[in-house]
Formats: sequence, C-alpha cells, structure tokens
Amino acid sequence: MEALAKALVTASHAVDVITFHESITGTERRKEGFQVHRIGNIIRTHVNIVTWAMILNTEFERVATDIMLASEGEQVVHASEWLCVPAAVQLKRTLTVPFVLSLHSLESNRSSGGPLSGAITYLERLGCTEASQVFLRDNNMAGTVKGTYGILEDALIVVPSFRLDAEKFVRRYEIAAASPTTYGSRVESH
Amino acid sequence: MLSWEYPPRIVGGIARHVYGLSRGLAKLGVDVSVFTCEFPGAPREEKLDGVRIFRVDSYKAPTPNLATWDLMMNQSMEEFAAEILSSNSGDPVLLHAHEWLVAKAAIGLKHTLRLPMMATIHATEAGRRYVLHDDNERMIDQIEYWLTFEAWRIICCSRYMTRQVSAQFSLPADKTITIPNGVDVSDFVGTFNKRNFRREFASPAEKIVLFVGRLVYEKGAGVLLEAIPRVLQKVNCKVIIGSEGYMKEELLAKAKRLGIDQHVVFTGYIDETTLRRLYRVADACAFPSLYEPFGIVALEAMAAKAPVVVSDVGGFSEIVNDGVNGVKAIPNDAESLAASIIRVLDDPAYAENLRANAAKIVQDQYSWNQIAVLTKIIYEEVLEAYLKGSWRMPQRRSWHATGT
Repeated sequence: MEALAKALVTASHAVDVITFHESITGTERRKEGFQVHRIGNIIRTHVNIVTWAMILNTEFERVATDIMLASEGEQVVHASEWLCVPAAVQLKRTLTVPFVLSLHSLESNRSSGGPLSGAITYLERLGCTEASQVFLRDNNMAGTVKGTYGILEDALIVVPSFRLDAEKFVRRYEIAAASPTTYGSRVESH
Repeated sequence: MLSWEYPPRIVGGIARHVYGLSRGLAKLGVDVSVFTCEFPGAPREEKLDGVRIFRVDSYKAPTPNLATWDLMMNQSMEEFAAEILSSNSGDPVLLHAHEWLVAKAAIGLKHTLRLPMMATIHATEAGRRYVLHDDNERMIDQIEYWLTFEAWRIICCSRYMTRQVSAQFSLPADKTITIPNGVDVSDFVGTFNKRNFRREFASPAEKIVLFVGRLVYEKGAGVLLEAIPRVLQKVNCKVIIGSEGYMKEELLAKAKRLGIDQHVVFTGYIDETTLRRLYRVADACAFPSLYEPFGIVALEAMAAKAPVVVSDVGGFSEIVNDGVNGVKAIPNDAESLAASIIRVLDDPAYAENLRANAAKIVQDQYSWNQIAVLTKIIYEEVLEAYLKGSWRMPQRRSWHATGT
C-alpha cells in the first residue's frame, strides 16, 4: 500500500492511508506527499482475529468519515483484504462512495476450515459483492472468486504479483467512481 | 433503537423492556424504529402499535462463539440500519442502544451518519460474573466501557445500577440517569378458571411459591431450595421453578438431596400466558437473587397482585418497601428467606395488604407511559444539545443510495 500511495501521489492524486498501530500516533504527513492516519483498537482484549478486526473497523469508519467529509472531489475507498471490508461497506452505505478491494490471498487457500473460516469467508464474499472493482494477484484467484462468489468478470482485475502499475489502479478507480453505487450488484444471477 | 432481542424473540429481559418502551414512546408521538435480530415466522419488517420493526438476518456466517457471532450480527445490523436511516427525510434522528450486544452497530452509525447516540445499560459483565474470569468476559466488559464512553447519555434502570456503571466505567455524574423499568398492568387482567389452572401445579391443600428467573447462580434458586425445608415445617407448599439455565441439573439434585423433590416442580421455559396466570394464582413469589440490576420479575408479580419476597439487593431494594408492597430477606440467607416466605403464606391479611399496595405502586410509578415520558425528556435534551452543535452530516452529502 505504501508503494501504491507513492505512485498515486506522483500521478497527482490525494491519498490518505488509514492503518493500525499499537499506540495512537496521530496523523503523519509523509514527505512523499500522502498522509498516514494510525488508529488503535479501543478494545484491548479479544478472543480471536475476527473480533479484533470488527472492532478496529468501527474506528476505521470514524476516521475515514472525518477525512472524507473534510475532502473535496471524487472519492474512492480502497480496502485491503477482508480485514477492512466492514468499514468499506459501511462507508459506501453512508457516504455513497464506491470502494475497490484488494485481495492478496483467499481464505480458502490459507485455511483448512478452522472455526473462524466461515466468518472470514463471509467478509471476503461481502467485499467482493459490494466492491466496484476487485484486484487479485493471479488468474487462479480470479477463477476462484468468479466461480465461488459468482462475481462478474468485468469487476475482477488481475495484477500479477501486485506489481505496481499506478495507472492501472487509477483507471479502475475512475471506473468505480463513475459507476452507480449499488448494493450487492456485482454478482452474476444464477 | 437497537436491541438484539425484541418479541417474539425473547432471550432475557431486554426484549420486554424495549417492547414496552418503544410502544410507550410511540404513544407519545415519537417515531420509533427498532432494529433487531430475525426470528422464525416473524416478518422482516412490520409496524406494530406505531413502532416500525426491522429484523436483520443475524446468521449470515458460522461463528465459534457468542462474541464473534455478536460482532458479525452487528455488521449486518449496521449495514441495514444505514440503508434505512440514509433515506431519512431529514427529521432529527437519535440512536438508542440497549446493551453491549449492539455497541458496534450503534457506535458505527453514530460516526458514519454523525448522529447522537445514547445507551441503556441493563447489567454489566462484571456484575454478572463477580470476577472477570477470561478474555471473553474481559472483552465484553471493555465493550461496555466503549459504549458508555461513546454515548451521550447512559440510562440505568435502578440507582444501584447507576452507581455501579458510573464507578466501573468512571463516568461523570451528569452522563448517567436512572429511569426504572416498566410493566404493563393490562397484561395481568382477564378471566380464566383459576381453580383448574392451579390444580395443574399444586393440590388445593398446598400454597404456591413461584420462582421466575434463569437458573443461574446469581438468581439464587439454590438459596430458595435451602429455605423450603424450614417453610414446610410451618406451611404445606409447592415451589414452582420457572424457566431454564445451566444450573438445572444441580438444582434437581439439590431438591432430592434436601428431601423436598415432591414439593418442587421444574417447569422449564414457560410461555407468557402461563407465566402471567401463575403469577395470579401464586400465594408468594420468591426472588432471592444475589445480583439484580433491576428485577422486572418483582414488578410483574406486583402487577399481578402476587405478594413478593425478594432479597435485599440491587434493584429489588429500591422496588420493594419492606412490609408495605413486599417483604425483604437477607441476601444468600436461607433462614431469613424462609422466615419471610412463612410470614406471607401464614398471614392472609398481611399478604392481602401487600397485594393491594403493590398494585397501586406499580400503577403509579412503573407504567410504560410514565417510563416513556421520562425517556422522551432525555431524548429531547440530547437532541437539543446535538442540534446546537455543528457535528452532523453536511448538507452536501445527499443520503442517497440505490438498492438492488
């Protein structure tokens, strides 16, 4: 995400990155021209990664809403992995902004069906369904997402090994921004 | 309002509370929408007694425990409520969360829609558990703190709970307010054949002592069983233990060990109609809780004109005036409890006086209309403060989204 942020700034786009940090450090203005907002998890004790992520997403929502309401122009939310999907979906609902999703790997490939796999897979599917564009690392992933989640092919973009191509991302942001913000529309009807 | 339970989904006391309060507020002209979990056979959307009810699919993903399920459910509730609230015509909206179980959705909606949010804390995890034993309980405790931190005002149902919540979460005094639970007296009228109904549970020679409450440690059913041998020395009675809980097997064994199993009936879950009738044929209702944030069962019994015997704890201490509208017993003291039950069963005139006083106090102080009036005042205070400030969704953001 850091390399993408740098490339986007170079291409004259304003970028705010919201990410986790164990201690709240406030907003950092990077010399490359983008801003990093580090948030903490207000709940210190968790029983698993899903409860941790769900609570953290509420803080993502709060900070992102404040940033986006203070900003002008077209806006796109770029969520990285299932861990950020809840906030991206909520921001789409409340601010009517599209979001794009990057999936570096899929739960079905990572896990052999642990107790949290169902919840993580649900969030992954939710993200794919709600996102205007989904960036994937390879064609295998694209095939799985299309076949398992029924996502329309024109919403899937394969970026081999996530090799950086800012232009490619920007083109897709523009497609996402120009699309009507619909709920759960990126799915093939069966 | 956000609540994980609403009739017909009834898990504990929150469903009845939200039901009574929402209807009471609607009667006062407040436009109330309740977001809650789905229930088999209940419509996803309906309007009842002026209250709009939205039921959310809460089982979209398999989860390994209650806390994970709850946060996933909150995601669905937050998404759905955002869609509904985003189409709001522009009237001021206030969010009212009931318990930690809807904290994530309430706080998320507060920030993403920039709406004022307040919460009712019905009980705390620390109060329920005495000691926070594991990460699950510690997490719930911290979510409760988070909710009280984010809410503009906190309602508790008793002064006892207000003190506990304020101390535990270090809340400023002007953030909390005590508004009691309510009860609908009209639920406890109507005719039925009391003699025949009573025979289903006890012989004519036996007095009925009714216990209602989850069979968990803090509700004190074990203390009641320990008191019964003493009561039986004075008065022939049948104890009816309503509902279920993890202690049921232990209590069954205890009744047998005490030699009173012929005098105790474990009914399992009781439907609303049967429960209300049981209150009305009971000669005494015994609620020997060790921890009781409010004690809605005492109000229900009083509304049904049943004499109540309660332990002198928490909300019970505030509802019952000893010897006036009920009798108090020393908490976790079987001898004291037995003496109080005998006093009620053995003195019909005394019991009759308790019944009459209790019914009047319930009518005067605990009607849902009265509770709704007090709650509406707090709503108005919060909305007034909100509207004076500038923290809200800018006009340029048209709250429009296309649903499919």
